[in-house]
Amino acid sequence: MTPLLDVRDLTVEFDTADGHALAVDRVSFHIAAGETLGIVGESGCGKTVTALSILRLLDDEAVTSPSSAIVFDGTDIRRLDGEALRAVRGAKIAMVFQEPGTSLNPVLTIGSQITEALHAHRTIDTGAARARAIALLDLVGIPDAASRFTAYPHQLSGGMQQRVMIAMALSCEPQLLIADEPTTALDVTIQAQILELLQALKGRLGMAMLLITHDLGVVAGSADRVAVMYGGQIVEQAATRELFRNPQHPYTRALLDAIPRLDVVTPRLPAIAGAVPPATAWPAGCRFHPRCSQVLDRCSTDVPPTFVLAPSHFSRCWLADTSPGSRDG
Amino acid sequence: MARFVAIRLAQAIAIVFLVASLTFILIHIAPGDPTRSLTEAPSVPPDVRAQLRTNFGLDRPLLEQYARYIGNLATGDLGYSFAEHRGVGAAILERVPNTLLLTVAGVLIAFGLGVPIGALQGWRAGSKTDHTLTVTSLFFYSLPVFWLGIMLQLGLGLGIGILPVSGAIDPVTHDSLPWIGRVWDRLAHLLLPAITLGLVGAAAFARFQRSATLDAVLQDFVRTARGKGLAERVILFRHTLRAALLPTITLFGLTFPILLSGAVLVETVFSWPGMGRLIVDSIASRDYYVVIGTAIVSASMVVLGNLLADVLYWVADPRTRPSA
Ligand SMILES: Nc1ncnc2c1ncn2[C@@H]1O[C@H](COP(=O)(O)OP(=O)(O)O)[C@@H](O)[C@H]1O
Ligand SMILES: [Mg+2]
Repeated sequence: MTPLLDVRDLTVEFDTADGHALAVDRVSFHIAAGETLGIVGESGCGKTVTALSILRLLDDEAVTSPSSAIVFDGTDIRRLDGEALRAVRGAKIAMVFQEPGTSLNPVLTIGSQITEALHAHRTIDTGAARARAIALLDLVGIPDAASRFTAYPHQLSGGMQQRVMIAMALSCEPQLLIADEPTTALDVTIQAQILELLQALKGRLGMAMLLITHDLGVVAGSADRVAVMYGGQIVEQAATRELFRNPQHPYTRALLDAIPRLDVVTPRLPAIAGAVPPATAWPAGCRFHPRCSQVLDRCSTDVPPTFVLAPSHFSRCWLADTSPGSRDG
Repeated sequence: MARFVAIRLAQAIAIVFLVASLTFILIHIAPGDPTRSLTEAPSVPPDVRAQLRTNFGLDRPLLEQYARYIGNLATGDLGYSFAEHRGVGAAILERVPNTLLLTVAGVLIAFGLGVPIGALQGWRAGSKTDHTLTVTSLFFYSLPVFWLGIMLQLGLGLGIGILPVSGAIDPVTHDSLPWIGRVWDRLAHLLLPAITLGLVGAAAFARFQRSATLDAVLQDFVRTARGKGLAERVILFRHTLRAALLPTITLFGLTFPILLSGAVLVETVFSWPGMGRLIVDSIASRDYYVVIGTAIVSASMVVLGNLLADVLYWVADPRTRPSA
């Protein structure tokens, strides 16, 4: 079966004042219809650039390597021209962003921001568009939806704004929803509500989802599979259960340790020591090696290839190398 | 909204009285008085001069003169013009429409030219068009207003001879023209001074609109709009430019006084019968109450311009309105 979305060797570079930034480096993943893929990694690992690449929403200065392919429903999005690209954006693939506060236009009513998406893709009269927008607002759990139609974004709380973003994204019943840290800017209690909402809507509408987060805990209950990103690369990929039960990459293990847990009383969260380096200065060898607790000699010089541990479990780490004598060097 | 306007009007009245008081003090500190030009002629005997000062109340203590002036001002009486031999109100009223016409025409040209040009530059930032327009607008921005006026006068007026270069109407033919001819006569006279005033303003607006548009293009909600699959035209006009116009509305209020003082210079160059020349002449002849009166009217115009900008902002940005 061909996947709904097949991203192959996605490489995105920026020329910055500090030099050449390799933000995303040969990232490959696929999402089947109705499936949820989680992408997890700390800030600065290339998650947003990956997400924006799919809808070609990056600034002009971003250079996507010509060998990259983003095949959606059989067509390479990279080859679409203006009109055909517009027909995908919002209609077949929709996106929810991290900051609902700045992602909604402050001078337009939330109703008109939903209906304009409808008008862009469908032949629908004003009355019907309005009715559908109100139904959508109702669907995402906005109380008193009809009277909220004419509200402006600043009159809503962050959680309500994110619900509006979700309603807007769902307006044309996309086959794929990309949610880039949809809960990061929200309070903890609201986070859970939004995640539940996304999960429920996904089941109801049968769409696929790319759920991006820096918190492995967020994908635990929602994603079918998880790709862990570090330094612009996918360093481990597996089914969610498998990843939680049998994490292979030390970075994945570190992220697992960083999940806030209710059953263990910890004085503070065990954060991963050190910080993600800028995309202009990835370390040689394995990009994670300066922060890795299980670093080997070869890690600082040899770039680890992607090792296949099981048919759908990959790890980009020398520890996964089972070839004879591999642990000696 | 009504409350907001009421507060601003109260502030405006306070400002008017402040300006009146300050100008009153300043013009009285300056040496000389309104009777000087009259009385310094050797043929005027000293007792006539004294009589004049008494008649005008100029011999009274300053504080008393001030109190009387402010008292009259409160009733709307702007005082007497010694040079024009009539009420200051009448003298100003005759000039204000011309200055307003010139300033409004200048603002319209500045806004109408500067905003689209700047928006185009911001939208196509880094393009050849952008660079060409940047150089052009910097050129106009750096020109002294009176110099530009004189150049336009020489080039378009006297050189090609298509446009009149002085006055607001043709004094000989105007009254005998049919109404359409009179409108054209006014328009033709208005064109060069308004363009002079407008070009410099347009350059400022374009510079500003360019950077406002550049900022707006990078806003998250513009990315959202693009991600929804909206047409570029909709993204530009509905999302980007609306956001980019907000800072320009503020600038509109701020540039109004600059355009107004620019108008004084332009009026001088083009012999435009507006308030500007009245201001210059009255200061020279120490026509006290005309000086104060024109200052009050200018201040009121600036306050009103700012009020207009605030109202526009209120209309354009829902965040500034009290929430529903
Ligand atoms: N427009 C840009 N210009 C230059 N560098 C960028 C740009 N956008 C992102 N980057 C760089 O790419 C890397 C990945 O960024 P991003 O995808 O936003 O990370 P994440 O979403 O995982 O936090 C970062 O090092 C970031 O600085
Ligand atoms: Mg991000």
